[in-house]
Amino acid sequence: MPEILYSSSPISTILSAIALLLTFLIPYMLGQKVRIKQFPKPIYQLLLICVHWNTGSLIGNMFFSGPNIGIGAKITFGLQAIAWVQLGNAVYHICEQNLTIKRSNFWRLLNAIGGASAIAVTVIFCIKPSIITDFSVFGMKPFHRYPFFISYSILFFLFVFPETMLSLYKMLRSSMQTSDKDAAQIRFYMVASFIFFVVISFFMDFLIPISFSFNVDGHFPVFLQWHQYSTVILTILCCQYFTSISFKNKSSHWLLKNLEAQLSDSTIHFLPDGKIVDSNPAAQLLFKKSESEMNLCRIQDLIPDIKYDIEIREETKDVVINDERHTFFISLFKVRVTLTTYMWMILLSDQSNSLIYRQRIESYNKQFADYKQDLIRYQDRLDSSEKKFKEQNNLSLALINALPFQFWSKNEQGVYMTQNITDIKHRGNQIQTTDNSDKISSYEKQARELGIPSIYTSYEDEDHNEISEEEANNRIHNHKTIFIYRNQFIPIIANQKPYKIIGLKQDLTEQRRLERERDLLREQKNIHSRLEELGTMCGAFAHDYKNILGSQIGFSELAQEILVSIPEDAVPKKEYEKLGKVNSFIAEATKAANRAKDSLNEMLNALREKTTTAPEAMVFSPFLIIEDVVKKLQLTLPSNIHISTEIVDPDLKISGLPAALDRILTNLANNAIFAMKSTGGTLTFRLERETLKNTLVLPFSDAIEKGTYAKFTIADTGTGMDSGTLERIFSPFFTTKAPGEGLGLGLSSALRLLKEGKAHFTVQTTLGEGTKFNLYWDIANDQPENASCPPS
Amino acid sequence: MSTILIIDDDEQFNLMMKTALEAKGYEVETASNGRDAKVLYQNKKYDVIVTDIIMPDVDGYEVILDLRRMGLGDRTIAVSAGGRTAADDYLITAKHFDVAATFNKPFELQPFREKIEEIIKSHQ
Repeated sequence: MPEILYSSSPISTILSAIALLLTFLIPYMLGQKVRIKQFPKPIYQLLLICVHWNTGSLIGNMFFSGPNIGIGAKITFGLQAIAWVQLGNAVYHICEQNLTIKRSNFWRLLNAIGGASAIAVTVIFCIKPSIITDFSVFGMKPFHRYPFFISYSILFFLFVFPETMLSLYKMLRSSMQTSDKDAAQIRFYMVASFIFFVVISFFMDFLIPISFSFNVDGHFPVFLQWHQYSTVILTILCCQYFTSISFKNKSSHWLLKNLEAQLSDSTIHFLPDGKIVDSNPAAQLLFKKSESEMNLCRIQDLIPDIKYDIEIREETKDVVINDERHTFFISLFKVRVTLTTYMWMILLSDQSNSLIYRQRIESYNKQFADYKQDLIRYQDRLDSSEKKFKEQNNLSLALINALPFQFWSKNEQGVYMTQNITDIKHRGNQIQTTDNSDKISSYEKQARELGIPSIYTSYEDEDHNEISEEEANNRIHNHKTIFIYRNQFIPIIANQKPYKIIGLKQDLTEQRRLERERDLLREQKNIHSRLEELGTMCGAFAHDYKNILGSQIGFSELAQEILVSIPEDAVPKKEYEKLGKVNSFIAEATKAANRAKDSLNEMLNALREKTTTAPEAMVFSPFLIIEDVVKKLQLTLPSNIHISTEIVDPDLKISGLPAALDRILTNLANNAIFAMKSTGGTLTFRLERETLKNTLVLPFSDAIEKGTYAKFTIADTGTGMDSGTLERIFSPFFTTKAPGEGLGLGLSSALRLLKEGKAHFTVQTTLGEGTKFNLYWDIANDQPENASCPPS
Repeated sequence: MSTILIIDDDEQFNLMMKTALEAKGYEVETASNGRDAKVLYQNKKYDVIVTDIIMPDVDGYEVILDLRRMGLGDRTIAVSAGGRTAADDYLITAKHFDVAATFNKPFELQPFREKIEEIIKSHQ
């Protein structure tokens, strides 16, 4: 059965027409968006192959079908062969691009050889087919029976089949190895389809014809007919594969673009030749160019020394842009645009920006630290305030409890809130209780309701029942026990009435008793000193008057002496009698003067009697006198002298004249101050109970019997006294004072008064160190108080 | 002739005593206070010194104690008219200071003169 190149079967024609149509429709089938030029080069090439191949087939079917193989059929078939012989190359090219394998020139060469071979074979068939048909090797003519089939099959297996297999292998391996799930899936799908169509084509175009001895259903099979159709299908698949990747890229591209637009870092997309395709606003801002201006540039114009052959990440690079020096972290990525093309994306993150951020972060950190410190400070302040508050609280508690009087406070509702220990001792714990309204005094109400502070004195009998002032005075008069209190109500003024109040209750009983005693003593002293004054005045008068009388009496006596001495015969008798009369007159005058003297003495005696006996001795607290004396002395005390009264027993009582003690102490103190006048020093008063176990004998004083005494000490740190001065301290007019500093009546009169008070004294003195007087006075504490303390 | 010093701030009484003693033939000198007297008795030896006690400036006690120190205590007579206390009080103190005699003003001249004579005689 002879070979045919084109089937006359209308089915074959129709199929070829459909295949051609499909080929033209591919771009439209994939959607309007993709134009034929946008396809990668190998797919485009594949499309051309299909067009070429199917067109050839259609023409052959329509014009050159049948067993008569004319020159037209041969040429058409040969042109077809030139098309399909490049199929392997196209497939492999697609594979290369897909797997980003570098294209080798070997395949281009092989492709060229394939094309040339196809042309050569075709030309031979046209010109002299016998060359092929009669080609014999080892006596056999392999091409003799099916010259076209075999010779073109050889071309097929030489130039198409190996590359197809290689592509298949590479894609299979790559899809097994890739980590990109999407890519792996698509590639598997691709590979599977590819294998399916290759296998089925191979099966239909070679295995079946050979096994059926080229008689398939009574027809000679058309060479590579199935491959022809499969190629169309494969082309569609490839296109789909491309578009699926491409669309995928498109959506990611869109996302990327949006992200880039938001970035403050600059991104620029550029083609492998450096032409800028796209830039984000940050980049435009950085280079101060509009988008269209950017697109006219090449990356080398912007970053002169940029190298882009491998991807880089975060490399530091200094770039001068518009005379400004920037330091960037540069990242360079390869971005696949289509199945077979890519471009570069450069990411410039301005380090100065990140510096700003870093600074900002640092300042925020610092602020945070400051806030934290503030917090700590506030906490500390709070703690210390709390501590202070506690301390204050403790302090006020201690203070309140240390107060020598009763203290309490009530809140606005009249409920007791605070009481000090003294108050609790007196009335028990009243806290959180209220008083009966009838027990609340008007003074307290006034403070609470009107905010007027008030003080009043209250009196209580021995059972602490409040009594009137009159009754209290009666009880004092009758020597019955009473208590005197000073009550004070202090409102704590706040926004609205009624107010919180503080109450103070001070026990004045002892104070008032002392006041009464002091008044009494003062009165006694006044009486005494009035009498003293009178005595002094009269004494001075008497002194002068006695001198006058003395002169008068003396001169009278002298006159009488002269008169007596005149002899009787010296003068006439009459004259002598006259002289006798004169003598008697002088005698009368003398008598009168003597009467005056007697009367004066009588008067003085009477006065002296009164002075010494008029005030009754009384029992009193001598510390009151010491206080009085000190107060008096302080008025004129030189600044270099200090008075110490640290040891003064307020409970001791003595019997005697308060005025006398006052005088004694004043005089001794004045002498002491005088002794310290120039050097300064300390004047010490002491009053203490002292028991003498033996009779005390000291120089310059009488012996003091053993017993218990109230001992007064008046000590100075002055000049001291020599023995001569000590001797004279009894002298009534003893003085060591300079003229004009007064009469030194002090010590002697003091000592006289001491004797009247049945007291004793000792004196110790050391020159240059000071003098110490001790007075020993009988204690009167054991006597009943009202025996000698008359009520006022 | 015996010499007597009289110390008294009352001029009239001073003159009276001087007259009374001069009448008896004594040489008499007078001073009106202790200070003036001191100048006299320190420069001249007197047989008897009569002193008042209450005087301004340097009082009689100082004079008495001064004289006692000079060993003239037994030639000293104290006289006093008293004062704020009885004259006796002052004179007792004076006696305490070992004076030869005391006289309470006003006194009679006779015993006074006798005492002076006695003192003078006792030292002859």
